Amino acid sequence: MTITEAMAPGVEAFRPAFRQSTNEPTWLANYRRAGVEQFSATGLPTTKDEGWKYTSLRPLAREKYLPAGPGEISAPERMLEGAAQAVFVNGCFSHESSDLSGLDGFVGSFRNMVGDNWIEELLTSTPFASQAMYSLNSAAFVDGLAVKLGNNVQLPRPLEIVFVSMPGNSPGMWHPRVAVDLGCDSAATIVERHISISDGSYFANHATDIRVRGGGRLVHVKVQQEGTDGRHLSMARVRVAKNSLYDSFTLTLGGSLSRSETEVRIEGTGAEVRLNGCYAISGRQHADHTSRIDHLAPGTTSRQVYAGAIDGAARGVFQGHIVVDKAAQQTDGHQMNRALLLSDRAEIDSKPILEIYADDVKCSHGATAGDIDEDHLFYLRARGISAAAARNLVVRGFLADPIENLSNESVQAALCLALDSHLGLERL
Amino acid sequence: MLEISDLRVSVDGKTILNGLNLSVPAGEVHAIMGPNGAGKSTLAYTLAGRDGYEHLGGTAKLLDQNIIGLDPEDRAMLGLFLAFQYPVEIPGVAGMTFLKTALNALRSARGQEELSALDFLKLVRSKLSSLGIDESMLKRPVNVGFSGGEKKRNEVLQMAMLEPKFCVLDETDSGLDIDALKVVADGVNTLRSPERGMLVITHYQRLLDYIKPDRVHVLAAGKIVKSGGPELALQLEAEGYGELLKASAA
Repeated sequence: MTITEAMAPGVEAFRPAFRQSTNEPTWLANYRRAGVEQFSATGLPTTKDEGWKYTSLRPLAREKYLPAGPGEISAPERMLEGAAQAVFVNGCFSHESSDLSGLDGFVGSFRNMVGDNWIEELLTSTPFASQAMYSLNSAAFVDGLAVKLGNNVQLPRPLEIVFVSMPGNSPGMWHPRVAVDLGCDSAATIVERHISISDGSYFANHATDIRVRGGGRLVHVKVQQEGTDGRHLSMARVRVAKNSLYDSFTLTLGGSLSRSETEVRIEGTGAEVRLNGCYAISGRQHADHTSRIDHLAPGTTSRQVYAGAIDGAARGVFQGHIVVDKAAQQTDGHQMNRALLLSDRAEIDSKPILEIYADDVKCSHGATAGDIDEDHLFYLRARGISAAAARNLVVRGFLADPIENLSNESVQAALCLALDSHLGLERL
Repeated sequence: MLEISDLRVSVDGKTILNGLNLSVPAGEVHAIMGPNGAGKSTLAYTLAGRDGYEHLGGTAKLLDQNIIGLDPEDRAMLGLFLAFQYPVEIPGVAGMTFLKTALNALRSARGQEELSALDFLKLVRSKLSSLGIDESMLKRPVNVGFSGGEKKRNEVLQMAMLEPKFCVLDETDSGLDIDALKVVADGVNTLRSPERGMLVITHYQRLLDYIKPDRVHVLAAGKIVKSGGPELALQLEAEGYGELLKASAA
């Protein structure tokens, strides 16, 4: 592979990640070459880029990350009872730690399924605009997970995709790819987990491509508990068709720098998209939740509620962009971002954008930022609950509030448990 | 049981309670009535320990201990309970979690063991059924989306669960229709006991048809201006506050 164009600043550092494999299908070689070219042309986004105004990737440019190799671990504890698990260590699929029994024919390592036509179609005939970090992932991914359900199928068990970081002595990076194609009237529950089992510096750059076909229902949850010196970027691109539901939730707790970005195209009438999330950050953590939802068909719905508790000198970023196409009459779009600022140095940057080209729509956004409500604390304390416990309860309640929007109750319970254990609350 | 003497309190620099004296013995229910702006809610919040009420002088003793200056939770641990006029909505905190946390905090303070999940559930179910409350209410976040009646019933449920020594009911009748009022009043009446004192704060006599007080006090301009038996409430209802305040000023 040759690189003909001049490389933008910062690209050189990621060159070791560019995948050069001789035995990949032609379409994939071309796809990777396009990724290399796109990333090389722009380099890492900077705060001068509109979408990256509040999130600086300079820490990434400073660290010398090298592609990390696989590692062996014992199977992680499950978050959902009875769930299958696909386990990745440093971005490499671990057969030994995974349990995909019962999911034969539905789920496989990306590397093993890359010859399948549906993956080629999903990746190459994309309507999404190119984006630097996604392009880097295209150039660099070694493995990942592929999930394919035909029509009228229910994934027999919920699926956990567990990305385990086990960085070595030198800073490591990996760029996993996940592809999900859910057939008409099919349903699946997928929980992505990002955990770290050793200290050390690393950079995880995830990309996910999802299609939910007509009448499909996908519950897609992400629990981000990266290590303290982990940097996590992810880009999910989702297309939803007629009468389908994409119901997602992001719980962000870890990492020094993280960004969870989602782009959704609502392409069919009657489709519904829920992007909800909560985050609890402190110290010098930086957590960015960015989304763009394109309503492209009439009578579609989108709901976003994010709640964040920001302590110390941490910084939260919420960017929500809703586009309503001329054709998308009777769109119902709502977005809400709430932040609790628990210290004087905590910061939230909130940037909603509504871009509406149809004339018969209901679209709204709202944002709140503030301290804990003293009336809430007083009410609890008046019942004998200590000030510290009352504060914990209120913060916990504030964060857990959007979890109720999820359609799957066992996932709700698992998220609450993860949140409680992070906040140091006993099981209530 | 509750002894308030010469209590003076200001809010935002304005004196609201101006030398209030009141004594409620154990086993009695006293009512405080008064026109708007008399200081009724200030008295309730001052007793419960809310921020923003500046203490200018005097004492409020619960079982011989001055509670002024204590944290709200410490007052609750001494046995004080305020039924709020406007119960606070707390998103994301399930009613069950809240009740269990509060009950166990009080039990530890009393030197009792914390209740197990099972024992707690048994206890709460018995209280729920006696108050005619559906258990589903406790699965919802505290007071969120509750009707006025549900909020007040929830207050009475908490009172029944926490078994305070002294209850202050702040305008418990506000926002209730007559049916809801009866349910709430029945709940309060079952908690009357020789060991427990109650202070019922209300603007209207209506509530006192259902919760019969032993004594009635009239609060005006930050102090008690008249005290009497239950007949005082009826007199107020008939004549209004105006006549009485004129008479007491004279």
